[in-house]
Amino acid sequence: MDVKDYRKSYEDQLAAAAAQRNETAARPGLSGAEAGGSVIRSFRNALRTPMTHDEFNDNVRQLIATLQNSALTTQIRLAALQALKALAFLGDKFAPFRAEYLAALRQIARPGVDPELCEKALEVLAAEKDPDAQDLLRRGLRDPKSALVSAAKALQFLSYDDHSNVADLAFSIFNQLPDLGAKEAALRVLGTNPKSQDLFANLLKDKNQPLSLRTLSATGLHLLNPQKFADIAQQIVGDHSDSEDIRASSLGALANTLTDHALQTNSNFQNLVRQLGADNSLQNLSAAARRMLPKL
Amino acid sequence: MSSFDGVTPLADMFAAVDRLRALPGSGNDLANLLPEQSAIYAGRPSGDAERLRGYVLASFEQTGLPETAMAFVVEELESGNSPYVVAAAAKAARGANAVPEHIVSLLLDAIERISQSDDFVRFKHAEPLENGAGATTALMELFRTLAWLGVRASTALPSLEAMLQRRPSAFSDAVRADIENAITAISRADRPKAPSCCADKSFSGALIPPNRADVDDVELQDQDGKVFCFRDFFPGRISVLTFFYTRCMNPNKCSLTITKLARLQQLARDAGLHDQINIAAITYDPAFDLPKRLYQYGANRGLSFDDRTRLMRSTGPFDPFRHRFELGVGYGSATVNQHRLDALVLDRRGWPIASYPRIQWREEDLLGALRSSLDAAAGTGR
Repeated sequence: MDVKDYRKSYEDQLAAAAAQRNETAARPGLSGAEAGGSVIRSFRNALRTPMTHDEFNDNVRQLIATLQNSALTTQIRLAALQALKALAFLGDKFAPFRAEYLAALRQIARPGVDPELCEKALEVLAAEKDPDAQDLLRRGLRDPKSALVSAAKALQFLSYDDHSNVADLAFSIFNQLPDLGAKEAALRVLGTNPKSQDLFANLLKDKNQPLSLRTLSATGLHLLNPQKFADIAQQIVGDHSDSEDIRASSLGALANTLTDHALQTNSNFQNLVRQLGADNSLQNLSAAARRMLPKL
Repeated sequence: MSSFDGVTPLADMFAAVDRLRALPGSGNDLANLLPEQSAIYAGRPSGDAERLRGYVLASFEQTGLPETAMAFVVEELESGNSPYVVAAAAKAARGANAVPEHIVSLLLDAIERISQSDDFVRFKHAEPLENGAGATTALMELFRTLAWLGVRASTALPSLEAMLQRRPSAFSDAVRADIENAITAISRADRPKAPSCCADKSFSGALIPPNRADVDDVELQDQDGKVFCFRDFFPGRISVLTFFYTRCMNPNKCSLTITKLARLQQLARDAGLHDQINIAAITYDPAFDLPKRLYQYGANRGLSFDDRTRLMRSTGPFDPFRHRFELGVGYGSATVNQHRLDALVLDRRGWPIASYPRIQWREEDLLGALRSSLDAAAGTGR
């Protein structure tokens, strides 16, 4: 997407947000429609060129004030946040407002604020590796009653920082929560934790596990221990009782490790790949085998 | 503080630092909390470790900065990328009786580096930064240290004036006010001149006493997957050894270290020294930094691998390296949580003969150190 499309997309989102909002803003003297229109104007103005330095600053200040204003509707504040996220890409131009912007987000990332707005603010702060936001997210994972976002979201946001010490919590979430989405998020987080190798190996081998967990385990193990992954993947590809999808995924990943692995000289495995490539009853697996053949 | 460790709640740690701050002559006790490998940081997330370290550093404005802590301040001003810790280092400098000659350029560089990531900072009671009211920002602290330097920072005046004149301004109104204050303070000739201290920018490799921790039999694996012991690679030639890890988030540390190592390799080649030396870097994060990752990291930064130039990971324990080379590195639950810059020159037995901790070493200077070591070794046979 080029810059013009990107800008237009944001403007459309802002216009849609304003159109959805029928309720009147609680702030005396300013209707919801007026406030929404004001956000859009501020955002459009901030992107307009040429514009003076002071005009740009006024518009950004207006957006930050809108984001902070708890008397306005969530839709309007979300629109302001969306606009500020876009403006934050402007680097030098936005730099004078960065501290104020982060402070506004910290005011929103707390209990009692609209959950959607709170979640969006937490996501931006987590992407900034903000220690307070990370602490809130970790606390929520330890004590779900105080959680500001779902476990899956908290894990996702914490995973933006490899140094956030989320692995132990991810292990707990994976083992304790039945929710598949949370388990998937936990495995994504554990994909950068070398201590997760055994968990990934066991899940990958376990045909009773959901396909999504096995696929994530394949990805994780491939990243953390390519040799171990190749050994297990080879068995899975040859196991006709296993799911075709996981066999195809394993074969596809093996193709990328061929240069490092003894598979290149393993005639039994090569014959298996040829057979699979010629088997018209298979779809994805056969296609993966045919893609691999030229590399053997 | 000996009863505190990495699981002590952060709020308790801040309270303990507050108590220390209030004690007269507690500067050295606080300075003992700065090394990255200190138990108080062990197991913490990077963000918490940085916040705690910043809180300790900022204390020196109140307690006075011991000379032993100046290297930590200089390192943060030179290479830090956390607005909180850089701001803390700026405050700490204001507690110094004497400052390095190059403090002004360090502060200006830090301003440039932090200018796009400025944030509110607070160093009292570790109040959460939910509301920026009443707080300063990292940039404000840096400008206030220039103001504190007074006439000593006169070389900064042209830069400060250019910052004010720049359009559009890269600074908020509050920061601009601090720039104006700094200019006024520096321009006033009656301000006391902060004295200089010996911590000069010039490169100095300090000889360090060898720690006897045995690494000779520790197994290493290089970027191509080759496995060997420390004693199979290092002894026999003079070596440059640095430490790094591929997940380091500070572009001024590990990424730059390996980039400079590549430049050093080229300089050594040009000087005809390449065949006489080893150039190596060992990762702090051996479980994650597998050979392929090492290869890509080095190759992407211009390192040309050969028998004498390798990136390595320990396949056995890493602790012997921490002890042998007195490395400044601490760990969270999964990876490094903070580390200093470490570069060493090893003699032909694999013992350190020069160490360059915490500073941005220059390739030319390290080449000079290598040349001297080679000359000395030719004389002594070591």
